[in-house]
Amino acid sequence: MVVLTLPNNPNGETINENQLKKLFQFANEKGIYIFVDMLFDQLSFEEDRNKRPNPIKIANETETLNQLVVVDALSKTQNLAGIRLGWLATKNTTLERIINRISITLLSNPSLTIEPLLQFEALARIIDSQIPNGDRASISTLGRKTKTNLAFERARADLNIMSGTQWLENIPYWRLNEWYQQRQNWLNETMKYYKDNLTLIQFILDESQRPITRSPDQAAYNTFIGFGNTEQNAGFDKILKLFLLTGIVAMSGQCFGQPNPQSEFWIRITYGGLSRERIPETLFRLLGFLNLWDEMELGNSQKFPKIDTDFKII
Amino acid sequence: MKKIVIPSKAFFNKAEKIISGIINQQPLYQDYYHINDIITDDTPELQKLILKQTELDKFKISAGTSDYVMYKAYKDKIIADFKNNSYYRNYNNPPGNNEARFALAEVENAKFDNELIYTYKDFSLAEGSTGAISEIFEYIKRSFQVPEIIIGTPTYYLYKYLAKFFKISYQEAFSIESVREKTVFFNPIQDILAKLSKKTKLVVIVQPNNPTNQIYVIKDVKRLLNECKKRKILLLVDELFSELIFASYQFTPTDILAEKMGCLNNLVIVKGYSKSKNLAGLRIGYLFSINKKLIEGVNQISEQRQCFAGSSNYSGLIALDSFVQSVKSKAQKNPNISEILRKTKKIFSKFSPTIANLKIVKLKKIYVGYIDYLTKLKKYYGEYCKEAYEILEDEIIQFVPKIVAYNTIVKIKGIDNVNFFDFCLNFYLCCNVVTQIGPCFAFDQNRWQRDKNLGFWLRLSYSRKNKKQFMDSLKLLIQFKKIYLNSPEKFLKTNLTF
Repeated sequence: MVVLTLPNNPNGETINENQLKKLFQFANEKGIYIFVDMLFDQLSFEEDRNKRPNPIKIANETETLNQLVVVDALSKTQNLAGIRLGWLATKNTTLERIINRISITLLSNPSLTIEPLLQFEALARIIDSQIPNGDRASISTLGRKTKTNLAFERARADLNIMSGTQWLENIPYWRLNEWYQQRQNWLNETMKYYKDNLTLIQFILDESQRPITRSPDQAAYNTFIGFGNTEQNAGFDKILKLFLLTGIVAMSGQCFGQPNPQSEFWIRITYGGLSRERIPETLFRLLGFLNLWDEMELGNSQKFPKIDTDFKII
Repeated sequence: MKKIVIPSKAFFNKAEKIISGIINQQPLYQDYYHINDIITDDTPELQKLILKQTELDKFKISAGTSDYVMYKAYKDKIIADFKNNSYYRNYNNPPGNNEARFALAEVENAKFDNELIYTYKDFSLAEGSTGAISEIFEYIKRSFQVPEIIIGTPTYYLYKYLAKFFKISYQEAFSIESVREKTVFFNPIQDILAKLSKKTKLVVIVQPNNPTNQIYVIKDVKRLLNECKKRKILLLVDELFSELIFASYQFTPTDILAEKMGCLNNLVIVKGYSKSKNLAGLRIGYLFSINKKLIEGVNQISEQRQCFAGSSNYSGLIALDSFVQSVKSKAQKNPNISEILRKTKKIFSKFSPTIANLKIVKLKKIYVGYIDYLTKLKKYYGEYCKEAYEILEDEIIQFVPKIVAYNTIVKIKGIDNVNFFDFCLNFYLCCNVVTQIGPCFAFDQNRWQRDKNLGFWLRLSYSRKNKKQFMDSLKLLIQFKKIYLNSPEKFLKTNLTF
């Protein structure tokens, strides 16, 4: 199995359609499963959905649907991490049945409480897929009211194959439309908030005169920043001293699979969970610490105590 | 009530085609513990066919959950928390929110004379009690090279299923004793003791039991605890039904016995909100033990499996209920409720913003309301059960004493010589009623069919919202049994067994 996080966490990178096609064709030839974590897909900065790589579409074109498993959730898209509402989708019936058995064994049943929320989200995503060029800004691209109704009708018909969605039947189109628009507005506002946060972070770091490496940042809400060369084996010690001196809790490259030793010091900055007001102060503290680290040689074990350990998964 | 008509050959042919289609799609798991899951819930096509034939909605008489509404004050609390708090936005600790864990420690401590047995670190929240149970099984699998588990039966089928899932060898302990006339007592403890070996690392008992609704004799539980201590075995006690004991009986929690015997380290208790609070869908479960190694292992599994415990969403509810339970527990020793409320609020306020922010008057109202709710709930179950027994009176040849709501198990006469699977399947096809019988809770169908002491034991979950439909389904069972036993050849015949 190949595991892909698309768009990626921590660096917001996506893989272009041609590369994905090659990978899927390879998987087809070798009979390999492809597991795509799509938790950040709705948070892509690319507004045109047609330009975003769509693993399901590519799997369909490369006849690898039977090997594809996609995972999604509302934890990132709707800021509902605590609700634990995730799902996986596959056309592979054998896999699906085995997973269902595992689910029974480990959980008895998944939580049903928030199910209607998921059903509305499904409806909204079907509508999303009908909007040409993925213009989030305006439902009016769907046209006059009758056309909107038609779109909802189609979406409801798609959903009606599932049991438990009958409640949607009783909601008038105008109400569904209203909910849908509220969701769109919320998403637009959120994406703007994230984009502005990212711009602010990039501006402050650019102004700092410190050599930094930026990540591709094609999707919100994490960015991955390389803060220049560092001593070997500094990872844990540096993150710990950052915390002790500034109160900042950070995750370094090793937390995301970067090998250790690493010649550059990478940190993930999650601007989704950081309020706008705190971004400058947090970055100033971080930059101040990095300057201090260099000036005072905080990583020098002859001068300061050094924690000789590393981030690892046991 | 609709009269049963034997369906046409064409109907059975269609049904058979759908069923064999499903069964052929089961490449790895060939277990049919009951017909609910694989055959009835996963097959909308079959459900539509049966609905058309019977014109009756699907109904489960052995469902194992209750439709009785939750306590209103708890519902209000959940809604208010979702509106006002931000639990739902955040990640939490793998073992769960600290407010909830502190509160649970408080309520479990309240039953001891020395109130400092547990700390919040001894508690781990999980995805329902099943999540907690499966974490314990996984811990056993990870900790020992060739462990063996002994499961006291009849019990929740998932214990056996989990052992299979984690590839841990297991034995089922079982015994049925005749008490008087039609009354029997299921007591697996003697058999558990006989089956203990050097390989045994975990023993599982469910008490109060589901489906037998029984409480084991204290002397037996003590013997089991003693052996577990001597042999360094972990004892898992599933106490999900401990709050639903009918008035004339008393349940002694296993940790009270273990504390006196100095073997708390060998004990882990699992509880949840699915049965006593009627909140199965929220998946609030937890385990607790003073065994540090176990808790550390479980917390690690919890992080890897679920990132963090979803039950944390309901920490406000857990704090509120724990407060109520603490007061309830202390009220058994001291009748001065106002004093208990005041003292308990003071303790809870140290760690629980939920309780700190509620006035004594409000807390008293919630407490009194809860006691009233629980009393009504048990009364409702008691009457429900009595009515069900009256309908089945001539059909029951053995039963168990009524000790705990809301499941019981009864032996139905005259079915021993037909394939149980086919009987249950055809009952579903002809009446749209789903059942769970003996093999769901121990061994396999052959044992229940072969052993003269066993036979066709049916679980009744007398907790369905639609009481009339429940009673009608029992009447349909009686009617169907007569028709089926008269001419079994007219019904669908499979080679399947539970």
